[in-house]
Amino acid sequence: MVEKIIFNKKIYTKQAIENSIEAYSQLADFCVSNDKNYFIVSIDKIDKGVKNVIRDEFCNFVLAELRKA
Amino acid sequence: MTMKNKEELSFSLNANIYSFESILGAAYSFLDRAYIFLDGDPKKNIKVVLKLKKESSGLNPESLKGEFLNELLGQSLRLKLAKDNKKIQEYIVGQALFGASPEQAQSENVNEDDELDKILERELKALEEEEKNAAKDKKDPLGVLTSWDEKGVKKSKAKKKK
Repeated sequence: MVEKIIFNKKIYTKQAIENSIEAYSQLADFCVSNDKNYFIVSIDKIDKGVKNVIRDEFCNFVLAELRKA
Repeated sequence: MTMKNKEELSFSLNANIYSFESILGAAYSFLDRAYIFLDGDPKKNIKVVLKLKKESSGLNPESLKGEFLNELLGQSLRLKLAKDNKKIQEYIVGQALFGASPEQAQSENVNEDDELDKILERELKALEEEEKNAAKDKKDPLGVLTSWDEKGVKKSKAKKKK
């Protein structure tokens, strides 16, 4: 099942999302698409061990990356 | 404020009261206790979604929200102080860096060396002058200061007289 997370472009940067995808690339397959106001991240083939938390943890990671930038 | 389930709640913050930077700062300091998701317009209203982590499931989401708002105030104050003291901070750091720069230290050493050289030269000149004056003032009782030629001339004159 594909999980979708919608990040507001006014808040989240593409760089932060890309950095997070790089960090999480071992745990699932990620795909980013662009809407007018949102970045849509699709997560597929999620590792079984992290299936329940990957969505929330990924959001937190992007937020942390945002702070770094 | 809405509560989706026991462990998750969302609320909106007025961006005119709380700056986006302070909201981001507060959210960052809560990353270890909750999952945080932001949405909305950073210039108008920002929606915050707080979801308790399993590790902190004993906590009440309401109290977590209260802590978040307190942290938000703290962040706002920190940002305000940083803005107010920006110039003095830059000045202090600038002075510290300027003082610690190797060029500055070198130029200070060069200046010190120059001063020492000048003092030494002055002292040497003073000593030479003192010696000259002393030589002028003192008579030469042993004839040490007269040269061999002068001595030879004197001796030959004395023999002729005899």
